[in-house]
Order: sequence, then structure tokens, then C-alpha cells
Amino acid sequence: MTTGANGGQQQDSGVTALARDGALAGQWRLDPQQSTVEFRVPHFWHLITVRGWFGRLEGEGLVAADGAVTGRIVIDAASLNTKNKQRDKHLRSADFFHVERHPQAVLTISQAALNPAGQLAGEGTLEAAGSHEPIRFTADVTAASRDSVTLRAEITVDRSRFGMTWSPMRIAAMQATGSVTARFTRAS
Amino acid sequence: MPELQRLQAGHAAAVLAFELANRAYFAASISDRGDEFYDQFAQRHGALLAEQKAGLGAFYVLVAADGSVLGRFNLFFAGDGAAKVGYRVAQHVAGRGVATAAVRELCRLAAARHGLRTLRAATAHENVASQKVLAKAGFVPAGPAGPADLGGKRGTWYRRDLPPAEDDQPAASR
Repeated sequence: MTTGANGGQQQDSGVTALARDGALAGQWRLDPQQSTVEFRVPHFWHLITVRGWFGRLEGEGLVAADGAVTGRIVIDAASLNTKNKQRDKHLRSADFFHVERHPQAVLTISQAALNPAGQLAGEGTLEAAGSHEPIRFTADVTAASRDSVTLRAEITVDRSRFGMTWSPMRIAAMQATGSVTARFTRAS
Repeated sequence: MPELQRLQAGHAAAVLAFELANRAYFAASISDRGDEFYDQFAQRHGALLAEQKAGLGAFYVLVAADGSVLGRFNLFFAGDGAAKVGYRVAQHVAGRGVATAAVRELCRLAAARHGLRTLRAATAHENVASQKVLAKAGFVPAGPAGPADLGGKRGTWYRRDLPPAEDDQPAASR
């Protein structure tokens, strides 16, 4: 499993200075209104790309005094939307997310820290359809203040690792890419 | 008069004959399908029909009076009333306006039968014939298309916005 952020050229969000001052320590909560979890998968033998997103998210984060970051984003699997009702029904079925049995997909950050480039780099797990897979990620910090921090990362997974092997005649690719934009605000 | 017909199981043999007869022509002008495509044609035909039945696309073949296939014209639904168009036409009818007429008819069907409002098609810079077809069928350039859209080539996305149509049947299978 591989991950990559947008590739370097981000502007300094100021997060490094905030972290150095210890201004980010404490509890944070995901702002679902300004956060998105999207996915895309090549379909019809790579003729098109199916794009979708999850409408319902929750999450929280914790920044320790030493700057270590943990957290998680809980995704309501049934809230997926690809703008095609029949496809969405299929994606909710046992061929894919099996939402009746596994209503949530969970992205857990088990350890992460700011790197010298001011990105949040770390590792964790992705749980979906009852399977857990380790992930590594490097998230760009696209905005940062004492009260809110916005992260953006891309994570590419092999969906067959989650038992999602449906692809008659390899019509749909196994490689799925997730784009996460997560805005966290101070938990009061 | 060739007729644009909705792809069905019974078209399999004629479509395969069309693909085989034009393999070298398509390989030169669009992209080669690879041996696997021909070896597993029946299963792939079935997979395509299943996706059509599930409402994820609408696939048409242009059929001559003798039952032979002259071209394939496909709509891949992208959501929100948009679809990607893909087509290929037999070498022996190329340059006679066959593709243009069929793409125009596909546009009419896209609006009337499938409720689509926007069509997009990508074509490679070197595929001048296809650019002419799209322009004559009312498409306009809409931006660059990359290798991921064109089997490794570079080209242009074309777009056509469709007027709301007089329904010729309910727009059910979007």
C-alpha cells in the first residue's frame, strides 16, 4: 500500500511554528462540513474513472505535548455516492463494502508527526468491509491556526485486500485511490 | 440504411468479426486491444451487457442491412446527466460520413432515451478524422486530454451540451 500527498510544493501553512510553540497540543474534532473523503477507481477497462464520496464522516485527533499525533476518521459506509443509484447499491452490497455487516469504514492514525517539510507523516490502518490493512501516509497541511488545521492526503489501496474482488473480465481496476481532506477544530 | 441498435447478446459474433477485421486499422488509429481482448471476447461481451443492464452505460452497434457491424458507439454514464462517448468505425466505411451520422444519432438517443445533458469525448491529436467527426456532430474542444484518457496518447477533450429532448421513451436507464 502506498500513499502520497500532492507532491512537495505546498506553501508553508505556519504549522511548523505553531507546533514548535506547543500551540497544537490537545484534543481536536473533525469538522464534517468542511471535510471530504473521495475515491476513484478506473472502470470499463480503464475507459472511464468512477468517482464517488462518502457523505457522512466523524472523527477526532489528539496532539500530545511532544507533538505526536493520533486520531481517526469514521466513515459511514452506506453514505457512499457515485451519482448512480444502481452502482451505489452494488457498492453497498457484499461484493464491496457489505454495509449491513460492516456499517463503518475507519481510517486510524496510530502514529504521526510533522516532518521537516511541514507535512504530517505517519502510519495507521484502514478498516473496510471487515478487513484491516496497514497504511502509510504523508498529508499536506493546507491551513493551520491555533483553532483549526486542515490536512490533505491521497491513499492508494488494492481493493482486493478488503475482499472487494468483483471485476468480471477485469472490467474494473483493483487499484482504488482515496483523497481525504480533513479539517479539525479544537474540541471544547 | 445502417441502423444504430442497442448492443445485445446476439450481436456477439458480428461484433467480434468487426473487431477482428479491423484490428490492424484500430491498432494504428486508436489503440490495440491486445490478444486477450479477442481470446476472451465472449466473456467480455457478457460483462459489458451486465453493466448496461445495471444502468452504467448504453452501448450501440451500427448494423448494416446484411447484419454486419460497421461501428460501435458507446455511452459510459458518469453521473449528473453526463456521459463519456467512445466509438470506432470499420475501415471500409471510413471517410463517408458514417461515423458523423451515427454520432449525431447517438447524441439524439443520449438525450431522448437516456436523459443525458452533457457528452464528452477524448481524441488523440493525430486522430484528425475523429476530430472532424466530433466537430460536425456539434462537439467543441474543452481542454487537454492526457495519456490516461487516450491509451498513452495526448489529445483533446470535446464536449457537447444536449438540449432537453422530446422523450421517445422514459429516461429510466440513466
